[in-house]
Amino acid sequence: MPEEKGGKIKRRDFMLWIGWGTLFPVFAGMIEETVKFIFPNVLYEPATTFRAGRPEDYPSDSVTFLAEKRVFVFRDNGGFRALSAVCTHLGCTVRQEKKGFFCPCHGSVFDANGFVLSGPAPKPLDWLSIALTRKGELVIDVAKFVETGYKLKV
Amino acid sequence: MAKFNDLIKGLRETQVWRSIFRHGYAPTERNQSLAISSNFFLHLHPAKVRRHALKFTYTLGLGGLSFFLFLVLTVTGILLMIYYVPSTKEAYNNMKDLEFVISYGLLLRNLHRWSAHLMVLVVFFHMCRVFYTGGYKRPREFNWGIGVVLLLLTLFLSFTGYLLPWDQLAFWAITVGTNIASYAPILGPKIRYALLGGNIVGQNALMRFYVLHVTILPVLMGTFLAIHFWRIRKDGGISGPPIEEVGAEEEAAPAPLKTYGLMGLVKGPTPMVEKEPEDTEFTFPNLVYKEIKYAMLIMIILHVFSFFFNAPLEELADPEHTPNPAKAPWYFLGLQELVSYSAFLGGVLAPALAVIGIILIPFIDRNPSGVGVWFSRERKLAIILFSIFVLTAVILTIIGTYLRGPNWGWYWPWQEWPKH
Ligand code: HEM
Ligand code: FES
Repeated sequence: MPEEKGGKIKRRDFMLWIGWGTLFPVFAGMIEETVKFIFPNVLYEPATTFRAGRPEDYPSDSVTFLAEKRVFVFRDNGGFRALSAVCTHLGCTVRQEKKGFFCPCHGSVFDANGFVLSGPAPKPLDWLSIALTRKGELVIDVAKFVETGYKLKV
Repeated sequence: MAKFNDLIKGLRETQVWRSIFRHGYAPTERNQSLAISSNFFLHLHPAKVRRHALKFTYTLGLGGLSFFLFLVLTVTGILLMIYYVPSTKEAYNNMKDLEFVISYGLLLRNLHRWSAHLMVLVVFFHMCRVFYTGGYKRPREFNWGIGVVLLLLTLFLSFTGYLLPWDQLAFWAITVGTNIASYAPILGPKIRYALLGGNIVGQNALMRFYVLHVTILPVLMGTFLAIHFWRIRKDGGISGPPIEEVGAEEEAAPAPLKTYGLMGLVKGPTPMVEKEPEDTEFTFPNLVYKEIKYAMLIMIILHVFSFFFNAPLEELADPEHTPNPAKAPWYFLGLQELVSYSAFLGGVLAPALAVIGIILIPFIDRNPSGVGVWFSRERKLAIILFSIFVLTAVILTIIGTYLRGPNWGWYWPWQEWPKH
């Protein structure tokens, strides 16, 4: 192999760098394409906000389970609260039993405010944003969380 | 009869027959070798194998059985694809069609389902066999690692297949399973999003699981199986007790690189040359006939079982109602039991450590002795440690399967579950 002269880069090395310098970006590009492709940009899932009827539909001092949306709606003292029925452990639907909520999948127990009493659930059940439209209908957003015990006064 | 024999003999002399089979039928050693080496499928095998490797009690045929079950699953799976449509609107109806209107539809579905369950079990037993006979020791460390990949692929294939019927069982098992993934640090939620193609178990998720189940994972499985088998040959056939020294001056043979073929080119002693007459047997027909008989027996057992027991199908998937208790497939119930203590520790950390630990076994256990016999006395510690791991997995699975009832409460088999 010829000696390096006057600090010049050897032809062979130069070609090698071109080779690697092309190969890696090409691979990186292919990986980027594939990964980006896998993540959908538009979802055709049901909207997270939904109309939950008029306040009059709910008797006072009641808990209503909206099964389709997996939400408990509480009405008491003239206010509304919405509690998610999605277990914070692994996403099963909790059911109301006695004074709180139970999850059938791994046995998490929550109190009436959604706080964890026992079981593997790492955090309390989520309280959901609930509001009134101008027409006087209740709107709940299952993807928007509010602080525990947030109450919509009606 | 004589006429018939003449006919067969004439057939064997035709040009067509000769073009397919290039060797004669007479049981000469040459023909027995050619039967293997000139056959595309059979040349997976060496022409001769050590007598020790042929003993049923050594391997219990578990590796071969795993492969056979994979073939059964491929054939039945492809047939099921003819009717199955991966749509949340149709998938469940297709299951009902298979059961009630398609000729042998139920049988095929049963065969596919029970073979899948059996394969998980058999692959696990095969891993235990390899461990307890020291089959992972030098030079087979790498193939042990390939084996672990095969085990994971087997589990992942079962898991993705589980969603396809789109019944309650499927829906909740996948809801729970994918939520476990989201507990993985940093990437967890992204993995779940990519796996489901969104935030909920819906049409996107069904399509993705379908593609994984019928193309991506089987192709990976086929690739890794090829590597696994190729490696068995390159590692000198399957393990056995060390071959006794023949010549006094013979140097200790390094890891055998080749059993047969290229022998003339290989430097140094090849393992079997001197011992050949007593120690090895022709693969054809000894091993090949054994394999065929074994495969037929399993096929019969699978059919009888599928005739009497139907693959489960619950009600249509209903995102609003979680069945109580909601259980994953049995081979994940040990995991679900762990998850019931802590999602991250039980669902992510423990299985990750277990997998890494198993892969590293050959590099941690450097003790070279005790290869080729079951439960060698020289490997007491290794055997005890591995047995503790196996026992833990089995006990957790039994607890999850039989002792957990509504709200994941503890119920003995004789205790009745409260009715709702
Ligand atoms: C789809 C799954 C698998 C298939 C089809 C398969 C197939 C086979 C076959 C046919 C053999 C020849 C000997 C025998 O029949 O026992 C073998 C050997 C072997 N397998 Fe597997 N295997 C699978 C999974 C695994 C797993 C999970 C492991 C371990 C983690 C593993 C590790 C090994 C090793 C180290 C050998 C060589 C053993 C020896 O030489 O004694 N394999 N495999
Ligand atoms: S999903 Fe609710 S306890 Fe596990």
